[in-house]
Amino acid sequence: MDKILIVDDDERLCRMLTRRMQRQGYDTFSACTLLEGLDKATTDFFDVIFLDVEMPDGDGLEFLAKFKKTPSSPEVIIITGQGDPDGAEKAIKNGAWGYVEKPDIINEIGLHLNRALQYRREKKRAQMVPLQLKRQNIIGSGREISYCLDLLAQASVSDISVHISGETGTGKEVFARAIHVNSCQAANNFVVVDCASLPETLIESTLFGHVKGAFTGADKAADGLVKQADGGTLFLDEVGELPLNTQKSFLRVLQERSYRPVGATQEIFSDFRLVSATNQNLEEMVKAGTFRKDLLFRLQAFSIDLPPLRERVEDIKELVTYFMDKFYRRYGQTESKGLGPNFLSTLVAYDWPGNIRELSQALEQAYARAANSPTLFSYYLPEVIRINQARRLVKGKPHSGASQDSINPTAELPTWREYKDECEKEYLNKALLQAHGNISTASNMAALSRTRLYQLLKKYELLE
Amino acid sequence: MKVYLYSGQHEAGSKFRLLVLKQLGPDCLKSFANISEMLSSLALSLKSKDIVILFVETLRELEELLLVQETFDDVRLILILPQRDQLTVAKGHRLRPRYLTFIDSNMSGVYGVVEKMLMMHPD
Ligand SMILES: Nc1ncnc2c1ncn2[C@@H]1O[C@H](COP(=O)(O)OP(=O)(O)OP(=O)(O)O)[C@@H](O)[C@H]1O
Ligand SMILES: [Mg+2]
Repeated sequence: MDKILIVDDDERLCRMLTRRMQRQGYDTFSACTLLEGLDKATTDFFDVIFLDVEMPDGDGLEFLAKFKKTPSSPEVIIITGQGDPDGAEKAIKNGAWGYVEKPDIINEIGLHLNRALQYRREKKRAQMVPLQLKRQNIIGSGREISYCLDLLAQASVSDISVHISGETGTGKEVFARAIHVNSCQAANNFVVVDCASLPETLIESTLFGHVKGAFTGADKAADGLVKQADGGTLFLDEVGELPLNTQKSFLRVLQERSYRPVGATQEIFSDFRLVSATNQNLEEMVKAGTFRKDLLFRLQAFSIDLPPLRERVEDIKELVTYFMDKFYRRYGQTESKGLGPNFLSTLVAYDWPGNIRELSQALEQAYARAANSPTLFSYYLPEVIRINQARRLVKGKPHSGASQDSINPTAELPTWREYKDECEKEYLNKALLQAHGNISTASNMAALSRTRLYQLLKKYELLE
Repeated sequence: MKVYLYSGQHEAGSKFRLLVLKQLGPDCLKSFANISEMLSSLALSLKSKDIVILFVETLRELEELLLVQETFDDVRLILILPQRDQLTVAKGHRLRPRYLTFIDSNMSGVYGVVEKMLMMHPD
């Protein structure tokens, strides 16, 4: 049985939560001071600890590391005061699994607890199963993509819900498929739900199926996609497009694993792994009231944020080789083409708003235009890319971010990756400085999602 | 944005083709009655996010399409299957359709989806 400890000086709240958790089958204990809590955590074996910040004998956050180091390495969820983003941020930085605001705790404790316990189980399982990842044509070996592949491997060994974010063309669908192929659901269906393409009138019956005569045009009973995904993976693509009332129905499916087809009286059961993706900012949508917060919680049990191509230019060469090989077979040619002198540097200098998809299209266009010529010159690339390169050369300085003063013309040239990492780190430091260390502000200034910013800060070890 | 339709050589497919044609008009639609003809035409012209509708009347055609699954990698595929049994549906999902239905269904769903897809990426 999972063991829970609540450390809070509000005795009434402790009693209420303890009773509630016990009713749900958790072995629950409470402590009213930090020292009492720490004592219990050291001598017993807890899975999850809820820790209040304002305690009579100190600041809960100061004790966070100590709680985490107790023998069971528990997941710690911080209980913060209402509307205290700094406290929440500090909690995460200090290795808390999550945080919950005090007025919400009664309603949300179950959800937080479930996610933390699920994560803990997955973590244990992932530690036991070394995975030989099938990469499924995911090309690239730079640090950014390798980090995402690590996450992919971790996600694959479990059946935790995974949310994949990233700009258009960064490979969200490719990753979703790779999760499926590497998971124990692989033998069953990978079912795509394209939330952006389904008209609102069709979405519920497509997802949940319907009985005969449920609506005009329902001449036959039909299974929905949720049923077809039973035992496999349901991929909710463009999930931000899901209408609010369908979000509600879908949340229920996630909670209960059962649902009612349109017009049916009987519930149907379906057990699937959920992967979702979007390039929209769901947190913003929650704020705007167009996406349900509770659904977002469920989707994001595990998140992977795919980097845009301009942040992983070290992979461009490998991608080019991969695509050229593909085109040379597609165009039925006997020999692959060589690359002209500035070809790669032109690609590296471009911003790639359409990411890998745009790269593949640009290369294919160049390939087709080069026709029988054995060499691909930059000249064959789409105009917008060539113009970018030309402007850059005229200005005589790197196009983006790269800081001018960090390259001394007489010093030995660093590798591209070293240089890029250096600039990125410098940028992050500046952003943190200007944002006075506030992650939300920094992520707004940098136009990065918070998750992405955290990933980068973690990568450069800038999180104390 | 072009819509490509494979509707085979049987009667139901031909009827369906006429209906799609009526909905989209001849400029927007390119249709095929033969898989290899479609493949050689699509190989060099298909672009990401293009819409491809496959109206599959026999299991043999489905098998043939599965062999060239890669062709439909980055397009928006609408798949109409001949049968509703689990095995056929499982094979259908290997093509990763964005909308899946059956030849004996009401086709209004397909039209609705095509319309919405065209709206999302009008060019
Ligand atoms: N790492 C990669 N290696 C090789 N090809 C890739 C990689 N990532 C993506 N691609 C290719 O780029 C194209 C776009 O990928 P995908 O459809 O997964 O992007 P997406 O993030 O889902 O985009 P959108 O938001 O527009 O739907 C596909 O053709 C895919 O095969
Ligand atoms: Mg996609």
